[in-house]
Amino acid sequence: MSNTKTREPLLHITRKGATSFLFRSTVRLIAIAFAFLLAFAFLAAVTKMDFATLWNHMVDGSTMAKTSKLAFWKETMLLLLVAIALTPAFKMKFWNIGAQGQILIGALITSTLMHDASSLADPVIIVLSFVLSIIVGGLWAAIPAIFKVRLNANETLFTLMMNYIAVKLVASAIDTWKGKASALAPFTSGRLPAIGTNKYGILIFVVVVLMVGMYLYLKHTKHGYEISVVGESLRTANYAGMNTKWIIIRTVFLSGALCGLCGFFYVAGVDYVISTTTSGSYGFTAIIVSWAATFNPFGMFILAMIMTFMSKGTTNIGNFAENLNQYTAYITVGILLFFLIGCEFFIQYKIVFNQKIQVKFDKFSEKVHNAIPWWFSFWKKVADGVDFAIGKVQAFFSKLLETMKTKLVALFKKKDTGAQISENAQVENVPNVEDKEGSTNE
Amino acid sequence: MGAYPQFAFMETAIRFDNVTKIFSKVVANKDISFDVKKGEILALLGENGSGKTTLCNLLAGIYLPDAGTIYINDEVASIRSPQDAYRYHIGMVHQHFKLVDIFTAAENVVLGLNPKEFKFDIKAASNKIKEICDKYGFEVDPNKKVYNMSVSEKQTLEIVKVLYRGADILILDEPTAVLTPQESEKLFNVIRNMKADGKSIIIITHKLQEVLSVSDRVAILRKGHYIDTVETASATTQSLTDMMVGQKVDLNIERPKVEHDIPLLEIRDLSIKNDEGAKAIDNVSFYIRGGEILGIAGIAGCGQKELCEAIAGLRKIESGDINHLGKSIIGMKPKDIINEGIAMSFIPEDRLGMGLAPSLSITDNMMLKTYNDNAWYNPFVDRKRARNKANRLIKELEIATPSSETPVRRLSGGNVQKVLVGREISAGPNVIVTAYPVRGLDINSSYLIYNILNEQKKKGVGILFVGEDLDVLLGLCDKIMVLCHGKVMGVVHADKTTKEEIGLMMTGSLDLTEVKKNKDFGIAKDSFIEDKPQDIDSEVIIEKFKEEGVKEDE
Repeated sequence: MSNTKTREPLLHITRKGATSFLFRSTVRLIAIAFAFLLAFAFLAAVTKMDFATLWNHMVDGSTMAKTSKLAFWKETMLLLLVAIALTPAFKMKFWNIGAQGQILIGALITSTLMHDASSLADPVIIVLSFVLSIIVGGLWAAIPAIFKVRLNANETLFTLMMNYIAVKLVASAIDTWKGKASALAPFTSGRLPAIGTNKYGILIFVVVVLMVGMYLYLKHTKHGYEISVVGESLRTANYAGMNTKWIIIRTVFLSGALCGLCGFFYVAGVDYVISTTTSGSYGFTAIIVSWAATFNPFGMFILAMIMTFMSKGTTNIGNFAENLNQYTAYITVGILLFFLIGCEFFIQYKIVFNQKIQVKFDKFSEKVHNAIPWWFSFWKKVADGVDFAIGKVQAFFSKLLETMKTKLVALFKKKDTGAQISENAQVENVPNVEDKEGSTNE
Repeated sequence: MGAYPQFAFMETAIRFDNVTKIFSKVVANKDISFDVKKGEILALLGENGSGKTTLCNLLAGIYLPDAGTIYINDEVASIRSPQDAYRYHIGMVHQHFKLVDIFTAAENVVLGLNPKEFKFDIKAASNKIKEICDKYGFEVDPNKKVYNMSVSEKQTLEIVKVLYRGADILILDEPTAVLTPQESEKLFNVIRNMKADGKSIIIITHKLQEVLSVSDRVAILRKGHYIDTVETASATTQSLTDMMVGQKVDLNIERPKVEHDIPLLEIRDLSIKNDEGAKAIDNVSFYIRGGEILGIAGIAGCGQKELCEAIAGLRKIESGDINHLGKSIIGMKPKDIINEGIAMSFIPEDRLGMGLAPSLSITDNMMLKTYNDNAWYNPFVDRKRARNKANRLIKELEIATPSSETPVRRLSGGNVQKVLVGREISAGPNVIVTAYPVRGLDINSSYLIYNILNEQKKKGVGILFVGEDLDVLLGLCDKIMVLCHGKVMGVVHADKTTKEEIGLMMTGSLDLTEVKKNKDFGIAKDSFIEDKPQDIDSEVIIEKFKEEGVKEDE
């Protein structure tokens, strides 16, 4: 073995096997830390402020005044909503990059009602636009889905192109509404009410409900199961007797519907006005939020918070530095995205060095291990703690789910047995029926 | 080298010296040391996953060894790319052909040649190809497009391609996997001619008969380790198997005698088109009785896949009838066909493409066909029950897995197949359609699958078995139907036929339906199609089987 003369390349790359949740989270956390470091280095170089000042300004951006706190939660929730909306489609490997268009269409429907139906009472407008934005957003997304299942049209291009149509529709609507005015005035009727003093209370409440709902939907329902099988292999899904065409259309409709809902919140709950840039670039950023969180809505929540923190903070730094403006946020968020996507490489692959380097590396890590053993035991404890916490959370949700399930089934069972009683008119048999069904459930 | 006197004075072409190759945690090759002489045919024998292909890929420049040295003509060789391999005059014919379909044979041969060494001249190339063919006894038409070629022609072309590049050492990876017995014999003659010309040939295979008939020596690998090299003359099927598996193996496949029951599945005048719109199955009639295994033999692409898909309701039928217990299942949804008690397990080449969702856990894969069986108003899946089923199968079939929540993708091939076959059987089917259920499995796992199928046969289930290995078909099945280009060449009793006869039928040279014209082929005497016997209720039969499946589930 020692007389190897073969010149090996310095390193090569191989695929990794199974990785633990802790490993993946650690890699992502390190990536986020590096992203912040690089962003700070960039900001420090441009603004000549030191890191501590920068950090203070950044934290202030999200927490300083009540308004900035509110704005932070608003943006987090909107980004999270789009990410949740995209998740079922992406989990099914339907590359829906048309979230922007679906949001705009939902926003357009809401605007139309707020502008043209202002004679109606506010609650009527709100309920109508809530329902219609969901339906129209879903239908808008369903168009490429139908072409996909019918003609196998490429959904990536199709959904992207639908964005441009939506933008132009919005532009023409704005032109019509504003007439000769220089800009469209904010709509006054059909605004979402505040909960207490919190202007975005309804938004936050709905998104949190959707976050939990989407988690349960994907993990525990038949639909969620169908989505993961179709995403895995269309052939397997067909073989299992699933109606794959319907599943694809249904899931993409759901995805578009939630995007449409986001459009509704933008207009009725946040801006009270529509523009072609209403959705910003959230439709694309949300894709990365959804992916990097591996389709787990709770992970998306954390990521959305980090992203919003970064963008709000950078904007705030821009307020203090003369040579920066609000667009700096695009740069820092870009850095964050770059690291988040880049770290996936280290999750999926590993770098194998050639023998000589490997031996040296092993010796080195052994030395490190001997020098600071407490460091490793510390991390071991952290890992155990995280595992424990995750276990607790999972147990809580599965328990919650079980109760919900039994309640739901019991509810319907009452109806069913009720029907049977009236049909059979044999009251004595009823307990038997219940026993039987109870036992099959267990 | 004293052990092999007749080779002692032959020159060494390749020598492996403690070669090791490790993929993350899998040890593919560990300290392999042996040599290949000039002008010999060496068979590299081992089960799937024993590291044969990896070892040859090291020679072909696809991987680099992690440790150890390869000597070519007694000089240290560093083969870092396929180009390097050609520089050392090593040529590899891969199991999956690497040809461009829309190019002609000659164009494929010159493709990728270094223009500094070879002038681009199709005409000259064609002449040289003809020369090579004449020399070794090939038949290749340089102007034929690859998409018009049969599998064996494509393989010949691959061999010509490496010879054209001046290879002195040829590596053939499972060359006979896709050939009929007759085509294989033709290939062996060519290999012997090449040997006479002084070339060294390494054949990777796990078919023992072929090893014995063509090779000079056999090198055996087991789980990445080199076991031994033996002279073919002194080896037997049994001795080679024992070395390959590492323990005594009973090579006889059991064929229990079962009283044949009523015809469960009857197929009449069936025609199916393939994806390209050509006829994949052409006017085929046959039937499967309860308690029998009907084998289907045929070369790749003779329509087996389309037939299986049609029975499972996944493919449209052009004409004809598929009749299950007197009820036509044509036009039924796949889901309803499953409910009729017809189970299909198709193991495609990648082994995971159909029937299983690779990233999902064993539990989730268990409920693939039953997730929707609970009440319609219950929106949730019943994971508890699926988990119980998974755990039961893991115990019964000895599936090696960390837990029932492990993604199927992480299991080894044998265990993946056990999951698939186990799930299909636990649904209590009365007809099982299974295609290549032992594809890529080691010998012990294969026999476990045969046993499972035999158990079902004893219960009275009708089994359609599409297989690749003729020895297995002859050993396991009661009857064998041979297909050629979508047509039935005849149905023979497995204990009254020979491999040669089936081989002739596979290529279409022998057509029993022509020979015995007076007989009605593929039509059961007590067929349900014309007149359904009064005393048989198909619903009762379907339910009976299902109940048995459920009983196992408790």
